Amino acid sequence: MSVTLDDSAFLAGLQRAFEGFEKHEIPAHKLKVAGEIRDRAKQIAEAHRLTGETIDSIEVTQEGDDVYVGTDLGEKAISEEFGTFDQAPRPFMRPAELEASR
Amino acid sequence: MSLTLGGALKAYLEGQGLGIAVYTDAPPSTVIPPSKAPYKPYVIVNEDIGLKLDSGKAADTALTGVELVQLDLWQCFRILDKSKESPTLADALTRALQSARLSTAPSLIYGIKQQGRVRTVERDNNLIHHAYTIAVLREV
Repeated sequence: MSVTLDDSAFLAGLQRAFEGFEKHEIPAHKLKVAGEIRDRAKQIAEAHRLTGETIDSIEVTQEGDDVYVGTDLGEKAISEEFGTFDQAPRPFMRPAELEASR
Repeated sequence: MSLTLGGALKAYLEGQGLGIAVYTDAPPSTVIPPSKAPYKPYVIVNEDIGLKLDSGKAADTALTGVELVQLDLWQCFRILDKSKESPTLADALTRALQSARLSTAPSLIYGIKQQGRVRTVERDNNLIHHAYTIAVLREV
């Protein structure tokens, strides 16, 4: 199975959790919410644990004032999150982000 | 009246003249995959991939929330190196979904908002996959 992604919407979409934050809000607040999303995503992904590779790869990263939650597994994580023709989606990032959004 | 949100989405989308069949969770085993003749695209509805209740509601008001739903649009990729992907279908589906009210839904729907759309190519299966994430604002 090979899957290629045309854009980076997967990770970019996760930034939605931070919409509504004012620019002057301290990154620590963002990091706290990001940590909550990461922990919940790991919890959801546990339901379909095989090797644990996906779960272990879910991390929070920071670039300047921007905070990201996601995984660097790329193709594998995308297949898991959105499914393939042979496998139903097993979303773990979007539900976690929904629960944390305000 | 549809029994489920997925059923309401099916009824709504199949009535939009897009030429697509819509199935919930999985197509029946008799359905021909879009990669094979007559290369007919279809949509799969994956309901309830997340639900968040609205907070701060008074006890006597309706319980409302946001339900995340994933829609998968499957189309044939290529036949003899010629693209079989519709150049307009993905956007047409987006337009149809945006702000739809789903009058046959089992609970009151306030609106639908597309949150994201991802396009992937499954070369091994000769398929194009558009995965839509939509937020359904509704009574619970």
